Amino acid sequence: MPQEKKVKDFMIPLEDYPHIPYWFTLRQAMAIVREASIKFEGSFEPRAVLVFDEKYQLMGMLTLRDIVRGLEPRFLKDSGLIKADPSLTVLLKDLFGPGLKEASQKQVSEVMSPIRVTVNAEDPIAKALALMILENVGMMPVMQNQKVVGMVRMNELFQEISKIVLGD
Amino acid sequence: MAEETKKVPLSAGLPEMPEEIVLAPPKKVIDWKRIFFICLGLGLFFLFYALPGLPDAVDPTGKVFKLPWEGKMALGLFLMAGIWWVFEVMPIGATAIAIGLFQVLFYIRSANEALKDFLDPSVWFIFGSVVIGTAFTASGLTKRMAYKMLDLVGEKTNFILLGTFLVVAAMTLLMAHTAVAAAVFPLLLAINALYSESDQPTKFGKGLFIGMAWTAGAGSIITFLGAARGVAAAGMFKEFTGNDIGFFELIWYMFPIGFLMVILIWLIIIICFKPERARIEGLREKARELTRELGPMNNKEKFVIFTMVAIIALFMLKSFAPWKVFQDLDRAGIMLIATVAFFLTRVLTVEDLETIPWNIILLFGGAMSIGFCLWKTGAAQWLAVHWLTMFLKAHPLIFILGIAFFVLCMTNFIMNVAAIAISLPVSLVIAKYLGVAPHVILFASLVTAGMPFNLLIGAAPNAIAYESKQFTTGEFFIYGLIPSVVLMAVLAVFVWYIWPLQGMPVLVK
Repeated sequence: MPQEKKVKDFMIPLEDYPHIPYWFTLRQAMAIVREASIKFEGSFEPRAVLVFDEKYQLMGMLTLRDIVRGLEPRFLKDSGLIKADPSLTVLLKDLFGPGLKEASQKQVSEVMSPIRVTVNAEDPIAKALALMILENVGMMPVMQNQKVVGMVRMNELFQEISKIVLGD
Repeated sequence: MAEETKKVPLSAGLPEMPEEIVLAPPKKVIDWKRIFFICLGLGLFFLFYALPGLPDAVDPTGKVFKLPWEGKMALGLFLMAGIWWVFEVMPIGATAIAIGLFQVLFYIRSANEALKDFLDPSVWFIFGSVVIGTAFTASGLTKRMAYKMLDLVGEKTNFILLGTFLVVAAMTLLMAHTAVAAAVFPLLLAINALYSESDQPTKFGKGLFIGMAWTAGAGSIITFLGAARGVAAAGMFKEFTGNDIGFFELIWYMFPIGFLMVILIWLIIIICFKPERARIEGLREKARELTRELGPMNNKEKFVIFTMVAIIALFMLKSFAPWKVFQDLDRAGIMLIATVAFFLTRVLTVEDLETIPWNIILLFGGAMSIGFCLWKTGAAQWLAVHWLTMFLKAHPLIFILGIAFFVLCMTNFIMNVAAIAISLPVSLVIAKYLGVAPHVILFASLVTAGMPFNLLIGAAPNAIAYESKQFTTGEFFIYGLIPSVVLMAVLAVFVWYIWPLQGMPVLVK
């Protein structure tokens, strides 16, 4: 019986992700994402950008979902009072309508996912998985002695489960 | 696995990556404004607690009205609740709970009295109408109504505005105006995106959203279903005068003035915000596409319509049938039939039950509680007799319009039901002295309570319209003065000429 694997065994170093400050616009973030996908072509494609403040402290992450949500016109957004209605897209002339360019000038801090949940490097991966499911996130920062030491993603953890289930 | 060279992340706009990275601490912001208004409210309440007593009120016949201790405390509580409501120091429903709590804690009224008002039949009626709104939305009927609007309005911008306003007002006859505004809002945003090439405000956009908010208010006064304030007011009215206001009695007096206001608002909008373009090309085609996507009506929608018809039929029987069994049927009972029917037939599920906006239900409970509190403790009478001197020499019409204008100002600041809860008990006492019939006071107050045209906090549709970012709060305030003045003029004509023709008692002979 091998030792149960820990979160740190699946950790991705922070520098594998693009880093941007929170005052960047969505447009700048998208440029970074494109650059990253060229740089990492084939091996590991980052699905998110990490957002930092001026002191280089981690504030949140910007996933592709967040970027798309930030670009959507207002009538597709769900807010407390207003229900979104995806059918209304037939009224649009082109993708996301006239507001797309203007929406891409938003600051990333408006649409990023703030860090809601973290996991410890020494935690078992079952805990990391449970947190991801509970909080509905695809990745989380890994902490060690109050410091961020890397990121853990559903992707690697899933491969580990597959190994156990399929008996490789 | 040691790295030979330090990896550098792909980054921009940041200094060099430090050795150690920590999480950014969450931003702590102390909301001083909120703390100030919490203290101001409490301060006023305890000021009244500390006051030895307030001067007696003497009416023209020489009768002396002492303000009992409970009445003095009720006034303090009302001021506190008003401040907390206006500045939303906590959710408005929670402020309503505080109204109940303070009455109990400070022995203003017994717990049995103070807290029972929160589940008064009127509040149950409001609960029932919220559930109906939920059923409209859950079944997809709201969407269908909104899309139908596009079919009706065509492509000329002036008629798009008129069609929108008429449909919004028509929808408020059956569902709460907040729900209507929330339902048509995404559609209006989509129409506006078709109209304009950019996100910048346009005159058409301003007119569309401001007019939507105004007409939602104007339409909501017509039936008891359009806004809960009507039912709450009728509940208080029955308590204070013993007269009940029937479902169709309200429509009979309110429909002409409500409908007229919708048309006048349209005229004001197309004069103030004349659309830059006369047509939106291709809207009709897209509207057809939308309706096609929706497909034929499903069983849930049919059942909701059937239930609504049944409920309206019961209201008709209650109003017009000569049988006591229907006449004595309580309004709230009729309303709750729909609630139970929707859950029995699984049109709604337990998740829908959990989405009931308790904030709003409690708010109405609190408004009923403070209204009854002012009345039962004698605070309303005492206030009324004190203010009587202002009106003694006045023409009754001036007095009625004065009350209506007071409600119009109040309703812009606090929820309209609270404006009614404060003004109704006081104005009904004054009316007795001046020989004015209580009915006209109720209806005039309800008309203006439904139409806060100036401030966003006056009504939820105003706040929803503001989400469109087509107009500023300043514009909303300034342009809102026009329909407010028009409303007062229209109301004067109705109070003095039209309502009496319709059979409303205005003066007590």
